[in-house]
Amino acid sequence: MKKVLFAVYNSPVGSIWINEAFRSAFGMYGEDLEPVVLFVNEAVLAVRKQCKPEIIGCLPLSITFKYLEKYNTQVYAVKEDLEKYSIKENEIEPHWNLKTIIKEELPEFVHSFDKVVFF
Amino acid sequence: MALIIVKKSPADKLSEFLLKLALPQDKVIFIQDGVIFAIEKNLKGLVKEGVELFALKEDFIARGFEESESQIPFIDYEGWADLIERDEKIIS
Repeated sequence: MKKVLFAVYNSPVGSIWINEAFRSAFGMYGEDLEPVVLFVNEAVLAVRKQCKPEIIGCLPLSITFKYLEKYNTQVYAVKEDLEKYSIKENEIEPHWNLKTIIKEELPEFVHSFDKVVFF
Repeated sequence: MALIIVKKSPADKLSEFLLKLALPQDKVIFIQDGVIFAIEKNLKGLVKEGVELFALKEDFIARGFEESESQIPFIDYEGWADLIERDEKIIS
């Protein structure tokens, strides 16, 4: 099975890209492709429990949660970016079931996928 | 070995991020506003040794640059299509 990485680098608030990345990722299951999602830069803000794009009229991130659970989609965030925004482990929304990766490991990690798409 | 496609200008942080992901034997092609990288004198210093760099000629010329301003080889649409067909891994 081919693996596809959807890497999001845009903020979750004021853009649609995180929800678009997940919409694309969940669509992969219909094609027998294995999707993984990675948050880098400002996208890591999405993992905080208090992150609510719906406050300013954007789609809520929580609409992805039932599908994350259904498909057991893996979600990663860059550790240094979490630290940059002082996001502590106990502040992370548990539905993401988040794994972290350090920047140094990113090149090898990204090359382990057949396709990588940045949002 | 992967083909990395850089579409955004050097001012966009995604571009530098993509360059850092490149490993030896990867190819990086600059298209759209990414071609502005081609005039950077220190461009080869931004990537690891063994990474091949190309700029899409049509996009470079369309932005008013002279061919002689490019620090890296050009590729045309046909060459770009060949690269996409040849490389299994695409990072874009």
